[in-house]
Amino acid sequence: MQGLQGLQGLQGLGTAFTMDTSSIKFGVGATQEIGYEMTRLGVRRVMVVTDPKMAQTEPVSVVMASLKAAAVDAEWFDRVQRIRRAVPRPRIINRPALPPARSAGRSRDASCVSRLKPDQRRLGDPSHGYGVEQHSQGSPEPG
Amino acid sequence: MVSSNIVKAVQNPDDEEVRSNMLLAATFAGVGFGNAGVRLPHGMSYPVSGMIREYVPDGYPDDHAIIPHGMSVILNAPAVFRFTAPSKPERHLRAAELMGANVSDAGPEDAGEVLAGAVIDLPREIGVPNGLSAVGYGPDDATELAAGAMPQHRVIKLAPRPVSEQDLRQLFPDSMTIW
Repeated sequence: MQGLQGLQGLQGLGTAFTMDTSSIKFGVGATQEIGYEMTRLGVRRVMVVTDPKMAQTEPVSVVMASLKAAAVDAEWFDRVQRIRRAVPRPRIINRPALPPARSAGRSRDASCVSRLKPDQRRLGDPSHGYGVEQHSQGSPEPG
Repeated sequence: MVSSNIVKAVQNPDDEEVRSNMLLAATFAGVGFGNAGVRLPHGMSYPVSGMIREYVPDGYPDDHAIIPHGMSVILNAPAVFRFTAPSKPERHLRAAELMGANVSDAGPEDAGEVLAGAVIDLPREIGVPNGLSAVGYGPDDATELAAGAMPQHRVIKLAPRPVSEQDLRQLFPDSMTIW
């Protein structure tokens, strides 16, 4: 019982610990197997959640293709956005604005709508995620 | 694994080996803090991200200000390590050693500075802003930032020494410029 003898050295610590880990699959091409993994878990309907920028990246299209190939019914929500008033509730402080820390020539093809002023943004345009921006000014976000 | 790959990964985004190492390191880190939890730099990051005014990092959509989580955490870390080192100098030195710092001549009283120095080297080399002042905060904000961090019991209370609101009012100014 080598293992138990080894544990005797821990007796002075007086504490036990638990380790809970989610199942993690890591490796080249692992994303392509997400459809199989869902099937293996008995899942038939899934919701994929991304923001509008991430929605245009390859990993997301790989996920969607894999789910489709495995005949898993997938709903894709691609409009995750920042909500002002996160926890802790930020307060507006009157200070001179900093010059914008942005580079001038940056490519913004993924978010051209955002160049409009807020009152020019079209609300509810389903073609992009930024159009539904309606910030909560009231209670803090739960959680 | 991070300290020997992150700078190369930023400098050579096409280097699949270092990018793979960073992915694996991030996965290990997630398993680690998924169990052990996180502490002061994270607790301090919430008001840093939450009270954001104008800052938009390169490469982000410019329709709203944002301080990415990793950035808001690391800007506080050097001041925190100087603050917490007296509670367990040898663990702080061990962390610095794992990051590649030479700790052979370092005594317990050097632990905070040695670890802070090892941590600072990485963001400095990959274009992270130099402290909270570079993302829009000033010393006048310390009181409000400290008040915003105090409710984060889940992470504040995991610090290796007790932390008061007064301590936080000093840690935020100490994070304004980090190198």
